[in-house]
Amino acid sequence: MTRDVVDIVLDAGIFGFESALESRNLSAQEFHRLQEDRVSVVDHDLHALVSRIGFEPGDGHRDWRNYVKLVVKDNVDVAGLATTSGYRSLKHEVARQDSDVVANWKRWGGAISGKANMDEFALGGSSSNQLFGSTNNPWFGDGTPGGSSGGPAVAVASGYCHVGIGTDTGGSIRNPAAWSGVTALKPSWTGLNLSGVHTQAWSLDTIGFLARSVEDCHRAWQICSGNTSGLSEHDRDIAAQTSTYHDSADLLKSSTIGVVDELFASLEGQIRSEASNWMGDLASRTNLVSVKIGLDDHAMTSCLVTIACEFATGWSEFIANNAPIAEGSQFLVDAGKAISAFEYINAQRYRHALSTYVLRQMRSLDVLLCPTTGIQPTPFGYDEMEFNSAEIGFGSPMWNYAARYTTPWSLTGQPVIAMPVQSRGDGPPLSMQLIGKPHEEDRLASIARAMEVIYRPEGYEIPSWVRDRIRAANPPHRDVKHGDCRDNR
Amino acid sequence: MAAVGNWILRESRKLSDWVIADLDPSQGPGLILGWNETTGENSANCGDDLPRLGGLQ
Repeated sequence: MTRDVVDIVLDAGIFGFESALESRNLSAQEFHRLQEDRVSVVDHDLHALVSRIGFEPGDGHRDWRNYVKLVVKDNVDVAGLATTSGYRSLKHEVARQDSDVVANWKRWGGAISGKANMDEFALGGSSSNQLFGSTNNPWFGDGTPGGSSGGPAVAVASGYCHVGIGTDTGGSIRNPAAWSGVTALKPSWTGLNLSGVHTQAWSLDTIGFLARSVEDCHRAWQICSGNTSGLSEHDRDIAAQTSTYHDSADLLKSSTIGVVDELFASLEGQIRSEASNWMGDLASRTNLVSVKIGLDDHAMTSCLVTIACEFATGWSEFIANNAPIAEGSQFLVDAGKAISAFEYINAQRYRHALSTYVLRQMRSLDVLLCPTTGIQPTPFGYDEMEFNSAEIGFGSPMWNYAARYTTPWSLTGQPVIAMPVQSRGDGPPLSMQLIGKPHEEDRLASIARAMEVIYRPEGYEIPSWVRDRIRAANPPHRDVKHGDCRDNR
Repeated sequence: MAAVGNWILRESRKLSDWVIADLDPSQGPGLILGWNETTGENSANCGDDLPRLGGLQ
């Protein structure tokens, strides 16, 4: 198999970027132009970006870091650009300063290459809105990539950038990561400063990171936390534990992973058999312990009540004085205003009890494991998965098949990595969530990285539709044999 | 209100009923601010001030 040089360099990761360029005899400026050409070729059909920041090489860009690009979801401030949240009435609201996470990325030296599409106010799972339209799934060039952070997920999947920033309230970076075939890190709640972010539900929201590898998600989290002083040390720790297949196998062998049984039991059809086969292999490599949390409809209700009330508190007045939002979202706002304090507080009591119980169950475990989604996108049937325009109730596909797997860990505020673990032909790979203990992102990333080395030895898998489109546009000499750069890591 | 809104209200009442019946009141309200007992950290999730709630007007 041959791969495009942009993909090979991106596969080397943030901290392998410089050496990957050297090994391909490619300057950062040349890489930048190839990457920009790719965006021009592909994004006309995918609509991942809502704005692009063009820069000329040499215009203050001298260090390799100046070419490590970040794409930012359109509810996070980048100075000088509008932060619209996909809402028509915010089209001209230009941010006067960077959000905290973007400022930290720039301080480290990284570049911002654009803003990315999302559901209106992040209320949905299809990455479509009335202002910018729909983003398409990179695996098929059509249909939804999931949401609400579908824009940054597609940008990462298609090689526009090293990292995408999204927000996650009930699964909004993990769901599009699974449907676009990339990796996501949702840090612990309170782990990152949300200044300059349009929040949806402040007691659930986190900034999240999308990338092609666990390592890049973890490093982006460190950079955007402003935690760069210990970056080298953290990098060495993770690299030392998982640098080889053998080391990774050893780390998995010594780890104890709690399997959330009820979330595997609720899988149906092909994804159930694929997950079952993969789990059979995992059982031979690590210590799996069955865990029963007792998750039921109350977990999803608690999440939805919290979102409805907190979103309505924050935005209902502003929306009432401006353009109408999508009908399904307006129903959520109306419900949020009608739910009593008594019911809101009981939803928080449920969260408190769930968090306490889960952490008690994890005392002797390193991480928990469950699927990221109960449904995988196909070239057909997207209309059945629309969230904004359809019912939000338990009967809706989006709620039953996607949110069920992600909302519990939003309620508990735990860090989660959603990652591809097994190829599925022409569709995005099977995705699993690893759930860590609060503020133990480093330990979580170590185990996830080990799993990545074992189960994704070929690295990131570019969607075939994107690969074919790039190949049709690019001269053949840009293709190089797969693995050339990874060997030079 | 449309069916969706009514559904949320109905489910929130069912959740409240379950919490009242099944949870020990001595566990406290579990309110958001400061609820993270594991780390002992408070919920300073919003930087210097609350999120941009209506701050756009």
